[in-house]
Amino acid sequence: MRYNFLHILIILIANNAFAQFVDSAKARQMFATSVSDSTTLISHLYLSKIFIDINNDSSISHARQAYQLALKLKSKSYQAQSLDLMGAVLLRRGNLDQSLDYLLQSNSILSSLNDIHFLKINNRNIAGVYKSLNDYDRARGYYLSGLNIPLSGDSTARSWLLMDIGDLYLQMGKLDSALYYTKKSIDIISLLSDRVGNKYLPVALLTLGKILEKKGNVYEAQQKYRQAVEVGLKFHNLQAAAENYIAIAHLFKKSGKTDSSFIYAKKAFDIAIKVNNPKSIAVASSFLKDYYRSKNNFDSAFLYQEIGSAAKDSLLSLEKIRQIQNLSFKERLQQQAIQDAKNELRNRVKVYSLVAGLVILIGAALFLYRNNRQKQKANALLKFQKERTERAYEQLKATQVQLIQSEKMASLGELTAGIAHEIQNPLNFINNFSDFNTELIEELEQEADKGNLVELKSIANDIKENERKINHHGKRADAIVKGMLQHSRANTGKKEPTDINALADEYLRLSYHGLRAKDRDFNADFTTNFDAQVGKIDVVPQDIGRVLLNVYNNAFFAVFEKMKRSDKTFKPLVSVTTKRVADKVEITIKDNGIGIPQKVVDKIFQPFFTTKPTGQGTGLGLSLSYDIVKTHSGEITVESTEGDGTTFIITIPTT
Amino acid sequence: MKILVVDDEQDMQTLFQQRFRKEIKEGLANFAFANSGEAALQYLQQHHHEAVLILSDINMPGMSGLELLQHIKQKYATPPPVVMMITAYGDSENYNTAMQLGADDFLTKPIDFQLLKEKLKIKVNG
Repeated sequence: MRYNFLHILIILIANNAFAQFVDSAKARQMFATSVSDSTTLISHLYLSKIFIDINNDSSISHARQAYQLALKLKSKSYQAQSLDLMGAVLLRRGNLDQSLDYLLQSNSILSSLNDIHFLKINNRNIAGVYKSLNDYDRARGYYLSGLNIPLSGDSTARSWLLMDIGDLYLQMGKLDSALYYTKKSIDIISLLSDRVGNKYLPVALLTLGKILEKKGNVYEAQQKYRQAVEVGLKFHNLQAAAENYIAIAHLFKKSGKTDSSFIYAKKAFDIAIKVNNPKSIAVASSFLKDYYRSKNNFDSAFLYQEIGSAAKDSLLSLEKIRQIQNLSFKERLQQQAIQDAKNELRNRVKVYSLVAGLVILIGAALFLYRNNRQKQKANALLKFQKERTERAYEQLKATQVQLIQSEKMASLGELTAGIAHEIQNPLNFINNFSDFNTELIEELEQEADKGNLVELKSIANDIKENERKINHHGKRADAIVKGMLQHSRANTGKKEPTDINALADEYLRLSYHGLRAKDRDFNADFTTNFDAQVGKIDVVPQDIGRVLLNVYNNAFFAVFEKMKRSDKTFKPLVSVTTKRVADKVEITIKDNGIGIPQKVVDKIFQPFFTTKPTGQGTGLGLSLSYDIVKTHSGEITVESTEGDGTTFIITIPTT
Repeated sequence: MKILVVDDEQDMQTLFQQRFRKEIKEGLANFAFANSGEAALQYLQQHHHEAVLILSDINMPGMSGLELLQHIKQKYATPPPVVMMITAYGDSENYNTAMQLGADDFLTKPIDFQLLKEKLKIKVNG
């Protein structure tokens, strides 16, 4: 929609008040170039501003049109200005609800544009809404934030803000603060040559007067009111002039100068009628009615009462509308507050949730970190323990090797006595036969001298026989020593074809004599039943020897134990039987000793298991025997009846 | 005079037979041999009327020389046969036990045959 000059002019003429205010030169300049939307928009804004204190309806209409154009032109800045104007007009109308809505919309746009000049004005308007709602704290907050916006050349806006703050403090009853701000505002205004600035001077002066009046300074108050009226009339703020007249009338009435009061009330009334301000009309009418009544001029009194009631009615209806609007607005504000509280709660919940989440996350992180640390620690510990275990295992292995060696040495010790006896006997024979041969050779020489050939031959035969005996027993001793050395050797020997029967017999004797040597009381009979079919098989002789020695020793120990517990009729007996069964050789060692308890029989091949008192057995004998037989791919089994005896069967494959 | 030699070593028989070759030839000594204590007792049982001198080893499988000694001294109280112990272990314990059981003499291996012959002479003549 385009405005042409004529159109504008019609509007201007239609409003008679405009003629008094409009700066015709400026308007003309404006309208002359008013061909574009933007120019029309500016015109509407200007007109709206001019009409704001003259005609609300016109003012808001222009503001609305400006807003529509600003939307069309997509000008954020003009949208904000239009909205602010609409809010300002509605504030004056008392439509606080709608006013605040527009003002806040404008505020958000202005904030985004960072338009500090209009923000200052906007803040003042918003503060005005809250002041009207008697929400002094919020009002003061907006006034002060408006005041705090740094802006050079903003004296007018600054003066308005200071003035409004003064009025706010007056309403709050804080007279000193009110006086301070009002005086400050007047100081600024008095420096302004600006017409718009001076237009509000009577308002500031009215406030100042009221402050002084409340402070009891009636004379000065009256002076301020009079000055206000003068300025108001000069700069066309008639409403302010009317209100100041009423203030003067009020002063006179209080001091009992009813005539003077009447004169000023009448002046106020005339202006109020002119500006059609029902509030002022009502107040002024009230003065006039009271005056005429006191003068018994009832007609006039009645007339002013009628006018006053009409004004009051309109004021009341206006007031009522305003009240209802404000009520709904307050309700809305309350709901807004509730919503805000809810939002805040939601936000707080969000924040708390976030914080809680964060705390949980941090907790989880810490937990994980701790877990990780612990895991690392555990790993380190595990590694350490593993190393220690490995070390311990190595030590154990070394110890085991040592133990095996010491077991060998221990069994060697057991053997020693037997060996001593076994060696002693052949040595005795060697010595005896050798000695005897010496004698026989002497005899031989004697017989030779005699020439007794028969005797000579007989003696020579004896010598030869003895020589064979010496040789035999020498070899016997040699074999025993070699066996002993083999037995004590740490490394296992090599497999070689071994006469199992001879081995079984040799170690049986070693065992027997060993035990005899150890314990004089020990004795037992033994029998052997060797199968000639057994022959030679590939074994490590000293290893199998050790197995046999262990089993023999145990057998002799068992029969000896039983002998100690039995009467003289008990014949301790250990019998050794060899047998060839297919491709295996079976060596059976049977004794009639004490037997092995059932609960122990399963454990006898376990390492370090021993029934002997501490120090007497290593507990490794049968365990080692078991291992040795296993390395020969053989088997060692045991059958035992407690009290009756034990049978060990060693089976070794021939191949 | 019968001399019973008890020893589990077979060659002991040969040794005695050779050492006492002259005595055997001249009929001064008559030897019997047993390989174990049990065999010795059996022999004594079968030849209980003979006056016997016993030379016994101690360390034998089955019945030991000391056991044999004990048996003989208990069983054949009158007249108790002369029992001489011969052992490879010339230790005091064996010696004391033997003497306690009533052994008439105690010799250690290797046997000093000169000494043995002298002792036998004293025993036989005494």
